[in-house]
Amino acid sequence: MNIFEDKVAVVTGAGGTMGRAVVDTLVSQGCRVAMVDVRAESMQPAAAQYGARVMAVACDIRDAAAVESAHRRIVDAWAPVAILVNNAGVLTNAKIEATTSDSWREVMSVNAEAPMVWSRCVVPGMKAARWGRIVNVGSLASKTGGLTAGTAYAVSKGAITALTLSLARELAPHGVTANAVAPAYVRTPMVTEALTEAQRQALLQQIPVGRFCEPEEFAHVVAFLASPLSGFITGEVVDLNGGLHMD
Amino acid sequence: MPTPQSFALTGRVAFVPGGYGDIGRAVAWQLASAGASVAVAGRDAAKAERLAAELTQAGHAALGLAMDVRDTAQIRSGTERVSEHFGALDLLVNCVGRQREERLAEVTEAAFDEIVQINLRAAMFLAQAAARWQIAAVKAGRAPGRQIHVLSVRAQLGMRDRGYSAYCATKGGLVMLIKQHAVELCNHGITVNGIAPTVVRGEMGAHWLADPQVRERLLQRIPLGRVAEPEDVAGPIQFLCSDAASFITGQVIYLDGGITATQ
Repeated sequence: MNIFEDKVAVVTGAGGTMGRAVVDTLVSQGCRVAMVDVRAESMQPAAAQYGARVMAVACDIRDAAAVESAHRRIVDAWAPVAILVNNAGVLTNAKIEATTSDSWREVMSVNAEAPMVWSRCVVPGMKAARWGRIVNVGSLASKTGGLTAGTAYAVSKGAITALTLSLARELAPHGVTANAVAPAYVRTPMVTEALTEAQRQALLQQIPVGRFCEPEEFAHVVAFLASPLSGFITGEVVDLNGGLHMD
Repeated sequence: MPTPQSFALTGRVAFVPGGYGDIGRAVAWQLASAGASVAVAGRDAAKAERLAAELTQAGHAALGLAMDVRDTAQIRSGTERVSEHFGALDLLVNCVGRQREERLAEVTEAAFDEIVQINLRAAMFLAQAAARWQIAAVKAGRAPGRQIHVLSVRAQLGMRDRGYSAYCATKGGLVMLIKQHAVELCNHGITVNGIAPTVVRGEMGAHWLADPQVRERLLQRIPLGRVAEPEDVAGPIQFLCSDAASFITGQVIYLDGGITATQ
């Protein structure tokens, strides 16, 4: 099925569990996907599976010049980016007294600044096309403070919410929507597998649906927000948390 | 509109009260096109049956039935008829809604009660009647159902210079109804969510668009620069009905071209 009509999508953090799920979903719906990850080897399985439908772009997104270069490479090879999925993120569970200035800068650089830089790169092309979708990945932590996540992480995801609203306001007149998905506890090595057994059990008791989010469920929400089904939705943060938080 | 296979509704049975209004009609077509069997209900049997006939003629499985949501007995018999006709009732999409504009000083008990009855009380008992079938179905091994209510941005935003007490209060009340039902049904895997649109082109939204000055002011407030089409509402409802949204519950998605985001 080709719902996206060969549109070019960029997925950052594509080599991780959640990123790979997004890549699988977007490719299966007809996108050409530029996979971005700092770990080149993490993208090899998808590159081997999908061939010319994907492009693996190794890039340290903390470096704005590297992002701009990666963006130029994608546009030169394919076409202007129609869908940007700012998925890359780093998680630290350090609370305030254990938060170092270096770790704060690292988290903010990957989780907040890089999505801004990627957005800055793709917006001119989206404006010219009068169509674009920016899907950011927020977190429940931005609304609750980190339950298990650390201070810097929660703050960086708060920045993602504000970035999403700013982009929505600025870009709506140009036919470009900006939304976010705010998942909680997606079943990945970075998140749920890093919890202690006691934390896992306590959380499963708290989550009304009684389980963690599957990566594919996360990817489906991203695909929905990137799809024609969601054309009138902008500035929304879609909560994906099994009922853990309802506001 | 093509939709991803993960949003497919093949084999599901949808019950759409308010289904022949502008939004309901688009929802009925969207869900049917995604593979669902669709039962359309409303007070006017002829309208419900006419839409069902159109859907059937297009190759979809459809049923039209008369149902006055002010009468809980009719709600219960309606859900029973849908379940018996199609063998299940998986998806409740509550498109019932009404507005009677009265400024605060002029609000009458009769009009206020009518809006509460239609916008909030009916939602409660539609949800209850559907849940009874949905819970039984899960216990019998069927995939969990979905409940979707159509709200409004007025669930969150008051309306300046207009008489919207009952409408805003009932739509706001639906937010809490959704949350409570979500937590009560989560053990069965049944999700409950809402879609909150701004002005939608059609009969209910017509008065906003008839006066050029009012229309211009409205469009200036919507960042995307247009009102919603009924199809804009139907797409996200299909998504929430699908397996793809199985981890989303107790949420309201604002579908408003950016209005609430930029307040």
